[in-house]
Amino acid sequence: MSVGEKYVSKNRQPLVNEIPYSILYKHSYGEVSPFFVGLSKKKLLGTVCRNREKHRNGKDLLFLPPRADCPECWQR
Amino acid sequence: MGRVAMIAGGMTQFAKARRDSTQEELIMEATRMALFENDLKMDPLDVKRMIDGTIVSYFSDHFERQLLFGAIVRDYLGLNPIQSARIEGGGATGGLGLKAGYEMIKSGDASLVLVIGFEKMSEVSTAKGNEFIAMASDTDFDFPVGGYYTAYYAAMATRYMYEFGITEKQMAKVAVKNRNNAQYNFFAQTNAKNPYATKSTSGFITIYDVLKSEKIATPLKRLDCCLMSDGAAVALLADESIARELTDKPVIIEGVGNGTDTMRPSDRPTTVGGLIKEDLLLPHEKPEWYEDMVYPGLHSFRAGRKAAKMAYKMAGITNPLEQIDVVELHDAYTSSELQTYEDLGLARYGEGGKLIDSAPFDDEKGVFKEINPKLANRIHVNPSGGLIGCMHAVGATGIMQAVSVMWQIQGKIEKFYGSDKLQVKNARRGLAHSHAGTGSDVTVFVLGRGW
Repeated sequence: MSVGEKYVSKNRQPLVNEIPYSILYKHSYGEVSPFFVGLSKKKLLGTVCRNREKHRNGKDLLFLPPRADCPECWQR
Repeated sequence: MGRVAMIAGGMTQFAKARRDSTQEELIMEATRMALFENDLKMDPLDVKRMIDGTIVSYFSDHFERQLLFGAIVRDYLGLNPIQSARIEGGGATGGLGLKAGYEMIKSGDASLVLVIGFEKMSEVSTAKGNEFIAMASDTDFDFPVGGYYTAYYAAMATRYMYEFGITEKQMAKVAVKNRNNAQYNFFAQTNAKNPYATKSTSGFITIYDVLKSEKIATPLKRLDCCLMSDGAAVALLADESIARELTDKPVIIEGVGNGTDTMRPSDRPTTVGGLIKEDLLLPHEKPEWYEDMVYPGLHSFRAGRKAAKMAYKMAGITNPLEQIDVVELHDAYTSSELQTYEDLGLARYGEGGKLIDSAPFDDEKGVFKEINPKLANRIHVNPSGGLIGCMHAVGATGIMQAVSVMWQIQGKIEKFYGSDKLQVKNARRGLAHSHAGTGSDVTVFVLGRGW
């Protein structure tokens, strides 16, 4: 027998309230908005950071999904 | 500063819906168990009055429809005005909560901390619940094209199978192991003896049941997926000197690790560096094993590896399979349990399937030859039943698993689970793993016998 058995609730008739919840978000895609506009025109757009001398691998970095700021060198 | 120990824990019965109790009432159920049932050497209310910090961990404001829930919880438990913080980190909320409690003690700000985790996921429909969970993915990029977590894990499982030759049968074995273990854990949602259990979705299963169950997102079927639960779990952490005053069986937190990765799994294959370059080899691994491997790709969880490496270093673990007796890990999906074997170094990368195949299996009956089977003739994984068999009440999950490891080490599984079938004999050291998102945040704790 588990010690849990003496912790079992005897409540069989809880009151349950039904609460509707509806929200409209006005969400901005910010600096990468062109990516989403591109999708609606069947174009796939990415971003490139050409700050290669600041990257650990010494290369340009391509981002798809796009990013407005480079996570490697923190340049926009 | 001395070490930190886990000395007591408690949990509720887990169920699809616990309408009998509110969240704070569930927490009291678990907390009362922690203080009254863990053989503490002092009056439980005296222990309560020594608590000088709390952590409240719950995942979703959307599920609870209540911000600042910590204030309600502290009030309900009579633990004002002491310090407290709320921790949230997706599926790893419980593990991160424990880590925050550990840090509160380690910093010297507290000496006895109650870490409280809970979630009540039943107040919305299962479909809405899946949407709320998927809000822990990138809602601009991933959510509009996937929309639910099983789809994300299905993509990762497909790559994992392709990359390493893992089969649906190997994945299904994980479900059989965990779900059937849960039949001996009184707290488990799928245990038919749990008074709150939904009878139609509880009981023993075979590999055929898993393979025949409804497809959710190929290759994942309903029984490959974890549960959605209501419930709470708490752990009492103490600095070592207080721990020894309060219990004869303190379980020492020997290692703590935490790793992270990108929110979007699709960003991982292109990350700069790899397993070897990023210094993610474990002490027992050889660089030549992985020279040609793309890492982490979609097949591995770099956050899990990082967390394991950090915790092993602190705990002095040089070969986890030899030094750890029992593991509780985040089996959100059967595929992720196999992947996690590899991240934790219990199997080489690519050999998670071989590890599950190492346990004797009755192919005709479609079940393991024993309950809580030994993998590699050595280690037990998810005796509690894990997220597939026991529960996934998100904020409580990591705490349920760490408390389960503690009870394993203390030899108290029969007392709490109500059966000794799942007790790992002479368990000296265990590991508790907690995992978020598609692998964005992972914690690993190494827990060891402190007496």
